Amino acid sequence: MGPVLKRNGEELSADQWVLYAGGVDDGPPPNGDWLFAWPVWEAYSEKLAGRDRLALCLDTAFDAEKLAQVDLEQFRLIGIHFETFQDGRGLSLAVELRKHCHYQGELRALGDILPDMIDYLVRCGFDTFVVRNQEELAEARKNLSVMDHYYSASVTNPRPLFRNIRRQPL
Amino acid sequence: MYKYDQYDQRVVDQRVEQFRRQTHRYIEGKLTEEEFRPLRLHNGLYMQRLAPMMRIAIPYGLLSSEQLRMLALIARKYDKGYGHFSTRQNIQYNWLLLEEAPDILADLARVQMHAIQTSGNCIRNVTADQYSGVAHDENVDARPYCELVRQWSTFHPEFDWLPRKFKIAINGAQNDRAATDVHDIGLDIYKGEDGEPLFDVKVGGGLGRTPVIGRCIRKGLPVQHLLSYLEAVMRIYNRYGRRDNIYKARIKILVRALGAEVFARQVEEEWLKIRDDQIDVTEEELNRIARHFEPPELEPSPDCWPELEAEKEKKTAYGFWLKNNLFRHKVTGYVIVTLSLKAIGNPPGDATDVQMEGVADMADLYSRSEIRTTHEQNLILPHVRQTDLPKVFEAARKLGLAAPFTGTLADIVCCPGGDFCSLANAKSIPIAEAIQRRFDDLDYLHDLGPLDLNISGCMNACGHHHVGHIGILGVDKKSQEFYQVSLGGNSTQDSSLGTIVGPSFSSAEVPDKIAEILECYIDRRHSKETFLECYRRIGIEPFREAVYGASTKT
Ligand code: SF4
Repeated sequence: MGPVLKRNGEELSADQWVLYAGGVDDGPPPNGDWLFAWPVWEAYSEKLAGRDRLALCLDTAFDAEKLAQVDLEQFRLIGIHFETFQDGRGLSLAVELRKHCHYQGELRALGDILPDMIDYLVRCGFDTFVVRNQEELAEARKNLSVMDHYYSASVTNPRPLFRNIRRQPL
Repeated sequence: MYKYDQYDQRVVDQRVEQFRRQTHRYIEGKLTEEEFRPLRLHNGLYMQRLAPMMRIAIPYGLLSSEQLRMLALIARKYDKGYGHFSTRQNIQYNWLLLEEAPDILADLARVQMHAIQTSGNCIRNVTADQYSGVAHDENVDARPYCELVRQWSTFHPEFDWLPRKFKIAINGAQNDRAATDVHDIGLDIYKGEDGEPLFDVKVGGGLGRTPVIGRCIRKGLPVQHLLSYLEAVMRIYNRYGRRDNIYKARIKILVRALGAEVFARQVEEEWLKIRDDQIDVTEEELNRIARHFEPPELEPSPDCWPELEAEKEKKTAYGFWLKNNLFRHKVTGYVIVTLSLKAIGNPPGDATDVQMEGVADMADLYSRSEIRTTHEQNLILPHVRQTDLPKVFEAARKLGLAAPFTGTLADIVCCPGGDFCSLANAKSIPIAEAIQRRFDDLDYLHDLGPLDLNISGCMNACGHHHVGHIGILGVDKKSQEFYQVSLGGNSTQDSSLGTIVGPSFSSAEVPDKIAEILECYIDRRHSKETFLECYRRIGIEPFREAVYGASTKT
């Protein structure tokens, strides 16, 4: 994986998490800092439950309703994998995880992440972003503060601009 | 008019700087074409057949004279001296340089304008009735709600990467001039029993290759829930709209696949989860926005309506102009004037820098410095004293903006087509001109009565041909440009989609075929029946016979 940017602008230096490459047919996964794809987790959830360091990786098409019965607090990390940066489903999925499933742990964006959309990802509730290289990390960092304010409410700021500040009438 | 405060200004200024960096990175090769493409589209920039094209937002069609002067300046400084007003009330420039695009945006920001989200798969410029706030048949002024939606949708964290583009229109008058039935979301706003504004929400309407009339999924939504409800609709669409096929990605396909009832239920479920969040507008904010749209204080001016009626009957240039280019104002003594961008030979919707500056001057003199852009690609002066009409006519005539046939057959709505657009199947501007030249007899045009003729150069339907009383669509037949004609479309409150008459025609045939259709109407109409009413009574068959002969089966 490439460098990982945190939403406070720092780079996450000691990051161990790796996408688990095995599938359902490969038997129970060995110990390790894995991000499990949903089918693997589903198949082995009983065996995996209780492990100390668990993480999920969802694709953007994932239906958050499947998580209704799952204790999300057991995951240190949930990743959402963007096949293409233009797939906005990942944004709504993040919002649903935060707002409807009340997931509090780390939410990470992986895959085809464009530095220019970092401020959107942050506002949808992502904490960390895997980018391609140091140059993109620098660009992504700039985009963290590209705007001083936004009009609409977001996960990070549940109040729209007009509730946050007093906008002067004419 | 809405005036930016420091926050609005900061948003557009910072956006300009962001786009400047992005353009720079692209030119330096640090952003690939594929990565830069959606970024430039989100800032209104297309790569067209001949040069980059930029679409600039004119929120719900409202312009100040200062802003229009800036649009003129941009035409002169960066383009070939003209711009094209589109059917979605925006303006487009066709001959730009990529390197200069950030400078154009910076110039626009100086007059509180931008090109944010004017293309790409995001929520586009919100459109409204061009007569909002001044029309005599208005229930509620739509503009404050348009501005509310504009701000909510600008850089919304979740909805900038939708399956496809998304268009919202709001209408607050008895006659729907905003074509809300054919928008992704169409909002009808009216006053409830206690005077509070309520919304009926229609979804899944649209033109393009699968034209559909929108379905109402919620009636009587109170304004304090508007944003959370819109957010619920958008979330369902963003999650479940198709992304595998761009021709099936609009919300109308999702609504049709699920059925409007199921779609409505899903939205309702989502909405219940979020309706008590803080997304929704406060009364204070709504009042703040509404204050920007308070009607100007118009000094009393004598009512000349009876005299004008008499003048209209005179077969003078002025009389014809009065007859077609006026609309009744809320305030007695005043009138709404259409300045036509349809002079014969002028590509519909095009205006030169000189014309734009001329209109800005006219607005300063005669219309409280205010201008509107229309869905029919004309300009409007919304607050003209009836007593000023002779002077306004004279000024418009000097600028070539007094074509006296607004609302008639010659007031053609037309997309840029094959002359500019890289998606086109056929040219559209020359067809518009050929039809205008063929039917240039004012008496005949007036005898034909109200007629919407719309031309699109391809199935994307930017010329809204499906909802023209007569629609013309450019098609590609063995690499030749052909034209398919449809009849009976309509975009107002009893909206309908046109029916194709039959096999398509060559460009040379089109004016004759239109003539045959019009003759058929004149032969069959009852006394005061309009073209649309007559068509609805007699159906398509008589027109088919007129065009193809009695034996043709299609
Ligand atoms: S209808 Fe087709 S040809 Fe005309 S502007 Fe739209 S995309 Fe281009």
